[in-house]
Amino acid sequence: MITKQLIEQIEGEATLFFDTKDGLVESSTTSFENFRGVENILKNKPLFDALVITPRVCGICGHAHLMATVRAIEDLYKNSSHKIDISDKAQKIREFTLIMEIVQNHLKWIYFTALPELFKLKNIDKNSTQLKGAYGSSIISKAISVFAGQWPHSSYMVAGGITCDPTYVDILQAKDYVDQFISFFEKESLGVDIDKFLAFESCKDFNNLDSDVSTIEKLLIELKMNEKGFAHDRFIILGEHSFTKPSKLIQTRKYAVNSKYVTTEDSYSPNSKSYAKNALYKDEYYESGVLSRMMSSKLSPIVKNMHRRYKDSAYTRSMARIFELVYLVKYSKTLLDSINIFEPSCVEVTNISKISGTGVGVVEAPRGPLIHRIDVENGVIKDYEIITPTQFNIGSSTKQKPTPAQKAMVGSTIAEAKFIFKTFDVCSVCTTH
Amino acid sequence: MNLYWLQSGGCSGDSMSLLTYEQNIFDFFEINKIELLWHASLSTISFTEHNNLLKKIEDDELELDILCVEGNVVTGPNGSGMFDSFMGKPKKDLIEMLAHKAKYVIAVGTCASFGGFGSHENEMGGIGLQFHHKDKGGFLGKDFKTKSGYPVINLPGCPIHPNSLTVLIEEIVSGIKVDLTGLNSIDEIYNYTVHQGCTRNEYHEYKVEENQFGERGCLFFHLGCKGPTTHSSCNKYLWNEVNSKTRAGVPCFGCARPDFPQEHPFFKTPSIVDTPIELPRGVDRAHYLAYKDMAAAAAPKRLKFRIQKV
Repeated sequence: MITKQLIEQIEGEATLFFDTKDGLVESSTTSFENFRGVENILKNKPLFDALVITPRVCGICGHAHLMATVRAIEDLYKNSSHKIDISDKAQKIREFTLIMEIVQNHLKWIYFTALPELFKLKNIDKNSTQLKGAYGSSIISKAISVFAGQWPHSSYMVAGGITCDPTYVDILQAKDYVDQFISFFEKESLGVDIDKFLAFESCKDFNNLDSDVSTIEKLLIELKMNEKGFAHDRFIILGEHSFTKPSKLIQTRKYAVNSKYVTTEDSYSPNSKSYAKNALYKDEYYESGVLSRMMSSKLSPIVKNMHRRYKDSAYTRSMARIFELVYLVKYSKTLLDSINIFEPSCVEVTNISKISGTGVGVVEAPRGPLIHRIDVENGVIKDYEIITPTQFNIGSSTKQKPTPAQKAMVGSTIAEAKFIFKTFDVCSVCTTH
Repeated sequence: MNLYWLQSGGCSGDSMSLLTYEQNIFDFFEINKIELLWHASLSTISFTEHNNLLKKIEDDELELDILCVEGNVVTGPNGSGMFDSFMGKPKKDLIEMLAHKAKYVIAVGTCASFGGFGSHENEMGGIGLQFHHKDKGGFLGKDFKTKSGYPVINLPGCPIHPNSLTVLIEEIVSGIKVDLTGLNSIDEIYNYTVHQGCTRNEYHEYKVEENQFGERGCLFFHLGCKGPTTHSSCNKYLWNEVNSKTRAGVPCFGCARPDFPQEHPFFKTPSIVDTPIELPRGVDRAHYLAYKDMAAAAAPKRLKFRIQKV
């Protein structure tokens, strides 16, 4: 029996079609019915215009798009024998604002998606204190604005580096905002200080905690989310950063990757027209995002321990997001401390109208790899391809070859499936660019 | 009062911006007794409850006070509006219904105000609620007025600064008359130009121009800054209460202008004989040329040689 469900509150909407038997999902398809045509808007525009346009693909991960664009541009220069060497300072500041954007995204997921949805599933009539999500977001966006000028939507990353030239006062100010956030998060969300939290070794360590995060952990177990939501147990990371490196993992075995093997295909959506495309790596579906990055990380073993016990369940995926938030927030301070403000912000680059060729920019956005592929002639865009992380996770394919989210929803009730869908942290606006 | 927030052909940037509001947007709604009926990212009611809500509004069982629309009205492909659909129907139908029921209609962001992203291209067919670029009309037509007697109130910006919305809502709630500019945006916020308050003003004053990024200088003469010609208060009410694009060395992209995104290249100032074609608002060209020549000659060393860290 096919049931149609409109899913809202995922930065836009999507429609899920569930095929159920005895109340449990046997298979599903997803369709994203909206379209904006950004890739076509970019055609024939001067290349640097992409720095203004691509951040506007998405309000929540605009910096990721900006970074993917600037990396694609700098890759193009390299391929045209005009390699640009940006300073360490520019590299680190770019990473810092990207990290802050990821942290902010995960915080919003906790307060606007996870808690409200878990309360709904358990029929608990409780306020999920969304104002905590707004408060945290407000502080983090200040840390970003110190360098970028504003959040959302800035274009402070340009070919050659960054436009801002911070002083020590700016660095201290940014650190101060990070400290404010940590203080707030420890008290209002974690219930314990971040170093103790990062030293957790197993799920048992949550037993003595009484906080929003421990509530999420408890509800996930009560709802048996540790026994559901399994995808392919295959993970991919494609963006190269100081906090994560490209690789693919089949369970826990690591292999090398190259973004050139990423292809897209039309969604399989027989019940409705979908404008989204599925992303594949060497013709297979891989899960991308928080769980992938945490599985490949050399940091504390907690997520790997959770995976050992509960595989790539909805539980592990959700907890991985929370742990990544805390790791990144702590790491961001180390990053700020290592910046040498005397290095140049921006180096001179060859006039773009003299540059032709192709370039690729890959970034780990909050939800996984974001790829921008450009084809440019004399500084004008001939072709611009954007592949977003939600295309990796929430593609729609056949019953025989399901995508990660499709596989994860099999065997649960529709209500559970909707939550499992959201554990992938869907972004509809990105996917319907 | 109640408020329905509809997301149309946009990127949800305005919603994200609202969440960064310094005094906490949820506190703001509570203090001003605003009931948020629906928001695409923040509501937790079920789909059925949402549908029932819309029906109540349509059947006049529930009076809608404030309608906020984020994102432009999508008319593509070919006028059908199906590039942005909701339950199998074009979202523009829903916008039309709600706009005629609401006491106040607020166009949140440049896309909803003037068309913005996807408004120059035929494919998406994005148009503003009551304007298409600078021409009155848009989706609802130039004569449209809500039950309160106001036209669609525009809050341009890509995204909006959260203050724009909170100031407007407070005025509505308090019954204060809202003063509108010629483009139907609220005077308090959009009266300024982005140029006013930029920390690089002295460079502009003495025509000390930046030629490439990271150099420090005025971004207006070569790097495409639209600050002097864009109405917004970014350098008065700072972004995130901390900073602004131009203070961080990013040229203003004119995101609150009706023609955003512009059709000529960003990061470049179209100019004749080294003078920008588009001058600061209201300035006379002949006088401007003479003044700038003299100003450049009077420029102090501390600015010319970038001795100060401004």
